[in-house]
Amino acid sequence: MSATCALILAALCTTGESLEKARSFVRQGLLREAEGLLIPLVESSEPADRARVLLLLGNVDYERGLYDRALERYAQAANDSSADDSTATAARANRVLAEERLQRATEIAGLENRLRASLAATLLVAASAIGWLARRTRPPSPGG
Amino acid sequence: MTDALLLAVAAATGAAVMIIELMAVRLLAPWFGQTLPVWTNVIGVVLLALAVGQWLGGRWAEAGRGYKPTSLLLVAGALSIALPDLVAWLSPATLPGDLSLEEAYPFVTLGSLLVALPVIGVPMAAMGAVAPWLVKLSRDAAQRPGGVSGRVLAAGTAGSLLGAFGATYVLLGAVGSALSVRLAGGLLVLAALLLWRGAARSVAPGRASLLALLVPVVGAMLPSVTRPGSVLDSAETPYQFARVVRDDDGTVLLRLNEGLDSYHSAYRPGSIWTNRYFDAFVVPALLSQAAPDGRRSVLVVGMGAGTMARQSLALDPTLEVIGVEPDAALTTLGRRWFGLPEDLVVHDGLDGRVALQLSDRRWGAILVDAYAQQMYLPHHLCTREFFALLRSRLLAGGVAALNLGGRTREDPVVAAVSATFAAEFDGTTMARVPGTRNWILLGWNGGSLDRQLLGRRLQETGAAEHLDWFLTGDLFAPVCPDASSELVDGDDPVEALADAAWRGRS
Repeated sequence: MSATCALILAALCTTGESLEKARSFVRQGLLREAEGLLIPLVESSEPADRARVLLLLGNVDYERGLYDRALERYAQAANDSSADDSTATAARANRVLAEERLQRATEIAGLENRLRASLAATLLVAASAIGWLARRTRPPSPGG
Repeated sequence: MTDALLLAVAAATGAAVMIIELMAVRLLAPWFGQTLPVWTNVIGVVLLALAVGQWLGGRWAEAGRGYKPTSLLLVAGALSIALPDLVAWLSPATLPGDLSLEEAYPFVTLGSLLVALPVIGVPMAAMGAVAPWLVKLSRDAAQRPGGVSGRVLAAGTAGSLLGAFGATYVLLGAVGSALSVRLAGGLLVLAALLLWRGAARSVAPGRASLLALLVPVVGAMLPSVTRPGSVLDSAETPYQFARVVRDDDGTVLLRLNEGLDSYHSAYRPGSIWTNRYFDAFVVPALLSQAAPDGRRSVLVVGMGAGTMARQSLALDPTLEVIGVEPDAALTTLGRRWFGLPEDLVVHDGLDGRVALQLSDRRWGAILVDAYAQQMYLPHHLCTREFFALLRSRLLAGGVAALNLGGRTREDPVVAAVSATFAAEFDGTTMARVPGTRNWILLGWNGGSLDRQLLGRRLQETGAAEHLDWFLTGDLFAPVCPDASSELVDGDDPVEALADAAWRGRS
């Protein structure tokens, strides 16, 4: 199913049905389709459903490894005044998970940058050493 | 100085270059794997270092001073003897602890380059600088420079040829990669001594280069880094470095090369199940279509140490299960550590695609779990042509199953391979195995997933409780063919897709 079909489905279904369908898409790994159903619902759904829509969108971002965006969605879902208890609790729990993942991703990115810097330094040292070795032994010029 | 001695030194240097180049990748493999980027890094460093060495050597020979060939050979030899120790000491420093396979891509590509630059680059540069000196030292150099340089280059290349074949077909099997590299280093030291003796004082090594001989002693004293997890067994095979380890939960795992958090086989003594992705693949085995004679057969392509084969047979002893595994050493480890039955037939030493081409037998189910180098599906095992071959080896109604690793269905590798698979098979459907990063892709040679039959087979074999998610989890969704992302022989850039997958998530 394409994202376009998901949009058509969104137009035909009630919010509850769309949410159920979106949940199923997430379980099946069809994230584009789930997102296609959920995005229009952020604005159009009843206040009571908005938090659930945001929670699911957070799950889509989490699956994709977009933890900063997922955190935003979870925060919105948890803080939405219309959120029922179970949605708010799930959003808060997922936020903790996303925070952990984001922290790990940031840590890994920092280590990767350090590795890149070490590589650049090694190349610089190698280039300097080659230059020094070459300068040390200039071949005699043809004239002299 | 006799030309014969100079040519012998050139040949020895050429042989050492190739032995070290080929074996260095294997020395890096336990830390960085031996993927295409690692090979590219090593070859790139070798070529760069040789070019720099040849340029510098030319200047030194021309000037008649600078580092003499005996010094260069001694330095190269000493560093090569210490190379396995230096790799084992430096490599872990470039890898963060508890790195997962998903996070590993930049570290194995950058880390292998960072280690290769000094550890392989310096001895290679020294070796590269020897040839110009050899030309200069020839008696005929002034009269016939073209002829002399041609002979020296030819001897070096012939030595390289000998080194390449000798390393792969003799040394590796006889003494392993680390000792092969040390022997190459010893050959260079011997060449230095012969040259020193033959050319007397004109090429006597400097005192500083004699100190280089202490490097192997220092290398031997470097602290060795041990990997976490208890290692039960290990083997350096012609394909990879294999380790059998026991995980925290008692499961015996087969780890290859860098390993990280991934594994290629699993066994929990006393249990059919591994609680890992393998368990899902007994389902297609149980759905194996019966042949006209009533036999139900399963072929496992990329069997590793035999987890899926063992599980399938344990659940349904009436199945005829046969495995294909290119690395025969893994079969041996399977029988020793993974409960692989002695009477289970394994065609080892055979590539999966070649095995299917060689036999026209048809199977009720074929399970393909052929990850190579941890990160990559072998490119020739995920093309339209391979899937067509796979389908042609299925009985009517038979099922093919493919293990795919990736974060989401949008992952470029997962998307391209599943779309290609779907173009060839009927009823293609796919699900992520719960709690893993593995996807199970199923396709039929006529037909589709029969939930009633599956439910019955799961009940009959007692697997229903463990695998009920197949029926109740709402995890499967069809896969559609997509001509734009189809992989075909000759246009199957799996490595580039894996690279794009990593860049997309970073």
